[in-house]
Amino acid sequence: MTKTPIIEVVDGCKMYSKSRNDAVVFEHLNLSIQQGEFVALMGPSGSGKTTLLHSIGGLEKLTSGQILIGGQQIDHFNERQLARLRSQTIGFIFQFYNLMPMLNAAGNIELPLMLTKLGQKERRRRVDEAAEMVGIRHRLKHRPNELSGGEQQRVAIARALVSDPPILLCDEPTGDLDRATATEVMKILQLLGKELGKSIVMVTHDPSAADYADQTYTFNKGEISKMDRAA
Amino acid sequence: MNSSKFIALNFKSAWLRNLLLMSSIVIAYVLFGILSAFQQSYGATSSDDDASRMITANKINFTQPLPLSHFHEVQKIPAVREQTYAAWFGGYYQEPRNSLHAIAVEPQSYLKVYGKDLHLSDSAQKSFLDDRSAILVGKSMAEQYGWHVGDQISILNKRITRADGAHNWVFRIAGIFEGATEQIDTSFLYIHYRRLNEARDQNVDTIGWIVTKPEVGENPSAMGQAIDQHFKSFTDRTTTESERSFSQAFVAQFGNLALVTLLVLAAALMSLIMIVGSTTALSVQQRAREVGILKALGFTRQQVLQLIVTESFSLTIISGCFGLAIAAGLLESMAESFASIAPGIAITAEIFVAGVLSMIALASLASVIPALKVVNADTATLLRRS
Ligand SMILES: Nc1ncnc2c1ncn2[C@@H]1O[C@H](COP(=O)(O)OP(=O)(O)OP(=O)(O)O)[C@@H](O)[C@H]1O
Ligand SMILES: [Mg+2]
Repeated sequence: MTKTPIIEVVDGCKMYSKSRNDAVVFEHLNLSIQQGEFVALMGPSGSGKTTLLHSIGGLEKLTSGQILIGGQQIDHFNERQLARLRSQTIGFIFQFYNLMPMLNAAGNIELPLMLTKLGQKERRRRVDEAAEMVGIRHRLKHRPNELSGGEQQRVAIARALVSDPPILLCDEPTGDLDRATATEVMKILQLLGKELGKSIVMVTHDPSAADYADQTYTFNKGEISKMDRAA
Repeated sequence: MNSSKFIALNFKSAWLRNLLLMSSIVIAYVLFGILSAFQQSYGATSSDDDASRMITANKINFTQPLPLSHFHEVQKIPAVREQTYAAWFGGYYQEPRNSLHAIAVEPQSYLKVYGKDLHLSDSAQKSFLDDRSAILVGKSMAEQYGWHVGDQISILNKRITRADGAHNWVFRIAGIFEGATEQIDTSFLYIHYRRLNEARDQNVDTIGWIVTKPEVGENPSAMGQAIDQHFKSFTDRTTTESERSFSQAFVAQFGNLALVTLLVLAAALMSLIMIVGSTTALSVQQRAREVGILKALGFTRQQVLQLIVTESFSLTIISGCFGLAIAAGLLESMAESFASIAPGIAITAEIFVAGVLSMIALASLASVIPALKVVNADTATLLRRS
């Protein structure tokens, strides 16, 4: 008995130049991720991890192959449909946080709610709830340049969470953090998977970060393979 | 958080740059307002009449008199429909520094040619025509000296000696003309030519210039050529030109300095606009990363564009209108002293509309085009750029 995977890549191929063969980032890539699963993607620099993450989030288009989100094929979505997918179904978390410098933490977390019709009170409640979950409630009035890297990443996670999307896509979320802070962030992500049932795809170079995932895949020269956990 | 709060916070985050930018726009539109007001006044066509009026003066230069007989000659030229004549009177009121633009005219024909522009009641016209010592005074001149209809005023004129040896002329104000439009100069006064001619002891029966209007369907400059041709064999030959170029030549006598000033202001305006444009364009480009973030969060291109463009537009239009308001205030305080060179300088509805349109054009060029470029850029590429 198999459930429909929440994310499915079928025979995915990406190349940046149609004429040159060396521009192939990956091809014949197949991947499926179940609801609530926490997956880590590892692999050398330039192997196409970010490209895959962007493709799943509808920020880049595959050259060929299909991507299905919740059973829906997104390759032919138009700009508006893709925007809705990103605002309702997907939360992005980046290595360098990508917060808006002029907004304080609360403003940054609230940003995705600008796209909803929620009232002021409900927004506040959601911002507080998301901030609480990542342990940043006491810093809500501060702007990004007044926060540490770990705190900024917590704000970014809260922002990704605030509209309650089922999928979180994280590109090296601990890449810029020290070991202790990285561990805290990983614990938060793990919790989001376990407690809230979020499906998480995380790109990382850090094997100890990958340890928090349920499953680790490695990219190499366009090939993707499942790592043996027991090893 | 809503769009206006987002925009306000964004504005605040670069408040110094934005404040400087807004100041530049304010200054640019103060200049724009003042320049346009002068331009409008200078190139004003008060009526079609105005455009067809031709001025005939002595060929040597327009300060040389013409014999009065030339006026009667002009009536013989078939292309001429209406004609009148005038002579410079001048003089001053109380003190030499209050020099007056006073012109001696033949009342009947002058009112026929200029009556519509002066905008004068029938009773005032009648009161002027009936009394040889009556004068008509323009509104701005009357306001300047606090004159009213019915006042007796005394004008001193050292240049013209009366036959009785005196230099003092007493007149009664028969009417005050307002001018049919803002652009009509009302810093003039008109006296009867006969009053001047009878009293003076030299230059008797000479006039300053002749004003003519052509027959219907007749080209004004062709008529002008016919007039000059007619006087070719006379001792006093003539030059005829349109009233507008005549008054512009007149203005040029003392307006050159003003013109240079205006040109400098225009150059300053141009460079300000370029600075504003490039600063806006640059600041939009610098927001590429923010645009990438917003798009990753699920904002559509249109929503992002709206945020950026609303900001630039409000910034430009608020500062621009503020600049025009300052210009209006400045012009009001300047109007008096410029009345004779550039009558009716003010921010008119046309200037305001042109100003707002140019603000829209400026904001579009400087923000919409670069914003479109950023918004249409590939989101993934925007996010990779760190
Ligand atoms: N817009 C682009 N045009 C051409 N090539 C590109 C473009 N974007 C990425 N690439 C190439 O695609 C390949 C994969 O890039 P990608 O960023 O996905 O790698 P990555 O696995 O995330 O690397 P890293 O671990 O360094 O982040 C690289 O060789 C990169 O140079
Ligand atoms: Mg990468």
